[in-house]
Amino acid sequence: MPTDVHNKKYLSLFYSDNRGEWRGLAEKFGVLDYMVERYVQMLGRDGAEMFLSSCLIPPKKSIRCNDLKIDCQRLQEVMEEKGFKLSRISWIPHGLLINNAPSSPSLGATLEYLKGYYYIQGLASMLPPYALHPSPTDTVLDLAAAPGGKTTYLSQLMHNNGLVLALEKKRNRMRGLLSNINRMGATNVVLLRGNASIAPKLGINFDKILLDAPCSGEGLLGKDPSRRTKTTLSRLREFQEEQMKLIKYAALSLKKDGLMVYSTCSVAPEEDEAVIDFAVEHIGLHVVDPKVKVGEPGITEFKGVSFDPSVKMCRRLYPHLHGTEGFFLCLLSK
Amino acid sequence: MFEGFSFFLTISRFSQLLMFKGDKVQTVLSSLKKLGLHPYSLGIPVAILQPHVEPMLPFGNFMSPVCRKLSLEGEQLYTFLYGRKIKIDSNEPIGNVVVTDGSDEFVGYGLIFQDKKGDRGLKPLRDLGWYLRQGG
Repeated sequence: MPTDVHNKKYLSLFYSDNRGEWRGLAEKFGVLDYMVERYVQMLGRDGAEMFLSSCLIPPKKSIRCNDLKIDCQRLQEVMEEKGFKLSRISWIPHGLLINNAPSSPSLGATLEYLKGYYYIQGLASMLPPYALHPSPTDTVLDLAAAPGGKTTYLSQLMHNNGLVLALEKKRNRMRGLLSNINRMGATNVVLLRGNASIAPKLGINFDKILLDAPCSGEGLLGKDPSRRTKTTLSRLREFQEEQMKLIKYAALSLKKDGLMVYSTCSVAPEEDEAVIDFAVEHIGLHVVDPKVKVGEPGITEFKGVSFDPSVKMCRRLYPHLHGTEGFFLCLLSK
Repeated sequence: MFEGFSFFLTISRFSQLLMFKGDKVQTVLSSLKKLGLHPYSLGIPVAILQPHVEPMLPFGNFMSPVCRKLSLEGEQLYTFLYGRKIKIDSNEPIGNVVVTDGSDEFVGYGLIFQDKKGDRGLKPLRDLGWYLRQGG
């Protein structure tokens, strides 16, 4: 399954017909021209403006309650005693939105944080482990595991049973990942440093796999303004090639009928539906309804490239529609 | 207390004892071994063994119910968490203690000492304030 042959189908995704038409909007919001062109194609002009406007301000902070250590209702009460105002989120059971925070302590400096009662995590980032529905008997692979928010949520959902193999390539991210695993009290994680290509060589047929792929971070424009101009079209293509390799390695490591969540913190179809289309067409995976109660359907056609109709079942989250970071999520079966 | 846990000893420059919950770990370790790979960590660290035996922070919750404890609250607790020595009741015997907060939950390990004036103090050995000071 060489990705360089198959992704020729997706080449036109990286061609920009931009003749300065969107320069005004691009300058207004401090993003690259080609990005605006794509947002208009995806969301229409008004939608693109609303999306970009919402990216000018960081989304509200949120935390994930760790019910391995504390009852979520109790956590809410304890935090409110400290001056935080929190609200529950209907579509993610452990998510708490911070509506108001005191000037001190900050979210990362409370005793409750130290004790692992919660993890500071974007609401959309909580979805991939939740959509994977890991059970306490599963063996789960978490590819690209750092900084550990999703790994520790997998452990939580598995009640610290079964096994999570957390794989991380970057040496400099291992210490932070391990400290988060320890802080959150995840006792069922085996942490391994290595490239994703190791996974199929292990000879383990994983019940479930979480692939939160490295991406352009185009969904984080509000949180990290540097992302507004960081990713050129050629860099986007490199991301896609890497993502196709990763999903191939993941598929090879998944047992028959096993489930995989592919997610990115990007709204770019090049990194999202195109990768899923590749997985369906060339790896033989099937898209499954993730049964999450949030998000817009996946895009089935972009820049003249038609994707498999099943990508509609994937979910896209936008800051202006869902109050989250921009995010993409898809559940696949083998 | 340790039902369902397996214990593992890693022998290296930083030999340590680890514990893992669940019964699938042997399969994964066998697969790694075949490839000549070693896990970076597994489960939670119980203690480092060299140069001397020292319990690790994630094991603190297991130590807390069975070890000598000292409870701290308010300003004293935060000073301790910031890695500084604090003055304590002079009746406390000298030696190692597990330090807990007002909810009787583990926050660190400490050493009770006597200073030159004869006052008792508590010095943090390992404390959860590491997260606080270095951002996790």
